[in-house]
Amino acid sequence: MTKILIADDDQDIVELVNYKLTQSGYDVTAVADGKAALEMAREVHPDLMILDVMMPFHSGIDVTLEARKDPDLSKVPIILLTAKSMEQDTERGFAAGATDYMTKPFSPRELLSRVQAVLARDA
Amino acid sequence: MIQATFMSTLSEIFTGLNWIGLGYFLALNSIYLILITVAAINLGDYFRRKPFSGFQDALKSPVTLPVSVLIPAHNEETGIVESARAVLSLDYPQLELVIVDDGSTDLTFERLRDAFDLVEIPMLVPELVPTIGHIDSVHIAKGLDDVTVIRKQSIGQKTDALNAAINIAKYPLLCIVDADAVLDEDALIKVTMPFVDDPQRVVATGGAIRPSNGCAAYRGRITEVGMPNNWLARMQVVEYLRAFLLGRTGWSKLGALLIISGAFGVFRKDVIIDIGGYNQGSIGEDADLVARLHKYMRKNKTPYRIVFVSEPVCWTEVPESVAVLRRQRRRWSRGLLETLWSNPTLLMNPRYGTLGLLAVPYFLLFEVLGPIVELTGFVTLIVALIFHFVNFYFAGLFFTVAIFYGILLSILSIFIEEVSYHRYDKWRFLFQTIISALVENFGYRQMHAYWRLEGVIQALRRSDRSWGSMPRKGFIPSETT
Amino acid sequence: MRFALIASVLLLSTLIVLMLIATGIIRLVRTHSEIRSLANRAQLRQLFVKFVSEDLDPSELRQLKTSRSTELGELSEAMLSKVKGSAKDILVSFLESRGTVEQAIRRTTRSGYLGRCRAATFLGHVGSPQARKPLEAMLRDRKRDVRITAARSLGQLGDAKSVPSLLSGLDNRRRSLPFSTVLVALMRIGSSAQDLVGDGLQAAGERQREVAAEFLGLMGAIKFTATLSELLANDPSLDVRIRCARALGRIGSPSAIASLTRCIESDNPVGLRTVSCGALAAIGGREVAMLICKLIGEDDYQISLAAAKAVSQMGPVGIECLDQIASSGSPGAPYAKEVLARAAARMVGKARNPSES
Repeated sequence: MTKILIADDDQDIVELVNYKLTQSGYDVTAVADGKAALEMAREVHPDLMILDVMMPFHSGIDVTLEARKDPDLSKVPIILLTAKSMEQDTERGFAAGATDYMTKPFSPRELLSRVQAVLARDA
Repeated sequence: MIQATFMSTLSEIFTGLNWIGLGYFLALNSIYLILITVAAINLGDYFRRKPFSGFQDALKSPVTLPVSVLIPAHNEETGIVESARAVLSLDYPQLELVIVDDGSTDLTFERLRDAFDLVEIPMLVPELVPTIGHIDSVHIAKGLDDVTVIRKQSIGQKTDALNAAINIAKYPLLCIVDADAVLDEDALIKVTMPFVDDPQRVVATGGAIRPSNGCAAYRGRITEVGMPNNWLARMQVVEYLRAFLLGRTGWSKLGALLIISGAFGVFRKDVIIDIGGYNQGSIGEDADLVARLHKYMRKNKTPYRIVFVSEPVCWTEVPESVAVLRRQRRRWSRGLLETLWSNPTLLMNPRYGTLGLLAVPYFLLFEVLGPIVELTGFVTLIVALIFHFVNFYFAGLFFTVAIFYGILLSILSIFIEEVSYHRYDKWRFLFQTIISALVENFGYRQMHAYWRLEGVIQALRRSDRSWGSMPRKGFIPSETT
Repeated sequence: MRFALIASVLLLSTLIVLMLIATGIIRLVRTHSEIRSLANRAQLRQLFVKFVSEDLDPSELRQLKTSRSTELGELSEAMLSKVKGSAKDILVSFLESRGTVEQAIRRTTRSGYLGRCRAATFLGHVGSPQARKPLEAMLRDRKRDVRITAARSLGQLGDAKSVPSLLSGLDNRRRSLPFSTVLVALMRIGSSAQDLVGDGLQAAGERQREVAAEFLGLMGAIKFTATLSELLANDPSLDVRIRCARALGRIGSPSAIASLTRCIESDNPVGLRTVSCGALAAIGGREVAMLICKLIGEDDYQISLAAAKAVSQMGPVGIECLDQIASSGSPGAPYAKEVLARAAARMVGKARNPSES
């Protein structure tokens, strides 16, 4: 089963994404901060990561950078969730190695189709 | 016979002194009670409005003023890179970072150079505000347009480093941060909000400071608020609650904020340049700057506001040893007196409104003369007891009233913190703050009074000896009223 | 005397004890209610997540005990600001079916100002068109917070029809709206607001003209180039002129070059000249670069630096001009050298990321 890791400190969003993706047949692991995201990623080797940009400990961008340096995780596609729709942020996200990004508020359906697209591109 | 009369006169004097002491305590604490009431009302208002404050909007707004964050650094090799990174990742639309390496003899500069890939650039530095130490070189980070490091020769004054940074800064708002201050991610936007809300009038804002001892930090951010293990630091936690959360919030609401801590404050650059930047050689440079801001704005008859933001977003390490704390408090007290001394027109001047009529007299009476009264009161009470001028019972009552009033205020502060920010969220922390609030009255407060007295004496001595010979000419802008 | 002292000791100690008890009680209540509401919310959330994912019939939510009603309302309002698309549509129709929207509209005229703020925020999140009129009325509320919240919500509604009332709120003397609030609201409405905002350029109030100019620049509204150029030349307010200059730079149409060029001449105020330099540079072109270069080396530090910076951002053309000045030994040389060094540092590290360690 395709494994997806989601990291966001907002429980409402985590549950929503978790439900939507689980319903669509993915194996979802959820964490609430950047540090846990890295630890969990190294443990479960997800096929895709969805990271919030503003999280405690490491930001989503920091996690992306760390993941890109880690040989095990360097190829894992990453979708960033950003609350601020600022160019600067998306620029930095892509520079760090993110695959795609979505701005909050987000549409769960759209997220699902992006996840499918990213995974298809990757396969 | 003569001896008896003498003794009874002495007894009367001592009893009188005791009454004065008691009166002083009552007055001081009552003023504080008023401040607390004002602050509590203000805090309540702040909290109710918070969900609608729109700082998320300010983060997205293209017209939110960009900020130059200025960090003066002297031998800060251990933490400077982390501090710099923490500033760069603050949640704010547009900011630049200016670090002044003020003649460090350690690896402060080298650490920064390696971390940010600094390159030296030729730069014309304008003399917008006066500086003394020569600027050796200006460096910027490769690939980032918003990190500048200045290397300058030190004259041993933080003020000179700050003025150099002001000359380099390119944005309309200046944020002054201590190199060892730990800021929350939203610290800058929270403290800048008054400028967004009221751009015509706000000229300066200050942030609340809390002790970082005992808190867990990660990558230059506080991740978990805690209580220090050291009792001296715990007492300072209560002290900071009283002074910052309530004292300064109260003064700010009354329009008479006199001190914006040098650890975290935001200023409008144009006004800072108009008043000539920091006063070279000033010990209490933060209070001095604000005092001159008040004077300048009043003189020009421009409506203005200097706002204190009570939300705790800046954390600094407080001294855990008596020796260091003593040095710090001596310096604060000396700085305050020198500020009041060099801005004499502020005192009892109705032109300065609540500042002149309330805040400055308060600081002079209670912060500067306070230690003298407190210590004399304490000593006379003991003397009076020894010679039986007052009976033990009476003295006990005197002492109890004074102390209990103080305790009540501290407990009130803890109560208000509990209702408002609620940062010390473990039961253990609550008990520790309450015990500190009780214990500080026996020993800590007396020591504190003594240290402040030392500072006052230092300030007076210095003024006798070298007031005239201070090389001030040419550096002080002509703003005397 | 002794009595007074004893009385005050008693009073003080009673107060201290009372405060301590109050602190303890507040702590207890807070901890307890936090735990309870977290648990409740977690439970509700599971239902809710299914619901917005179209896997749950609304009637199941309605069957919940009425005691859960407020919590359900809170959760749906919280969710409202976090999702969009079909999930949001489901939420909105659920809230409408509960009558929450009409309730909120009724609350916009209630007496407590915090209630009015809450209602305005809610209506903004819901975004139903029927909220426009009541929100516009709130722009003239006597409480500033209410006015600001209403403006923000009108932005979220995104109906261009509310542009005139947003703009006129700026110059309302006693009940004004802050500049940045209006600008952000207009930006949210987006390009459909352009024409109505364009009318604001002719408004009597200068703050309206300022916001209009700023907005049109940010939107790159090229068809207003002529009007903006005219205001740049003739507006009595310097602030309006500066904003027009910046806007023309952002729009980038060459037809603005003539009027901007007039504004960099030395008889203009410094603020206008520096901004005009940047605007001209943003439009670009070799002649423009030469024109700005003439200012580098002027006595005024700000002008020289602004001109040099502007030219350095013009690409190869600008760098070429600056190289010439830098090697010339003219008074402008130090400025040219500084911005060249900056430009070089910027280019070298372009691929690096700031947070990389």
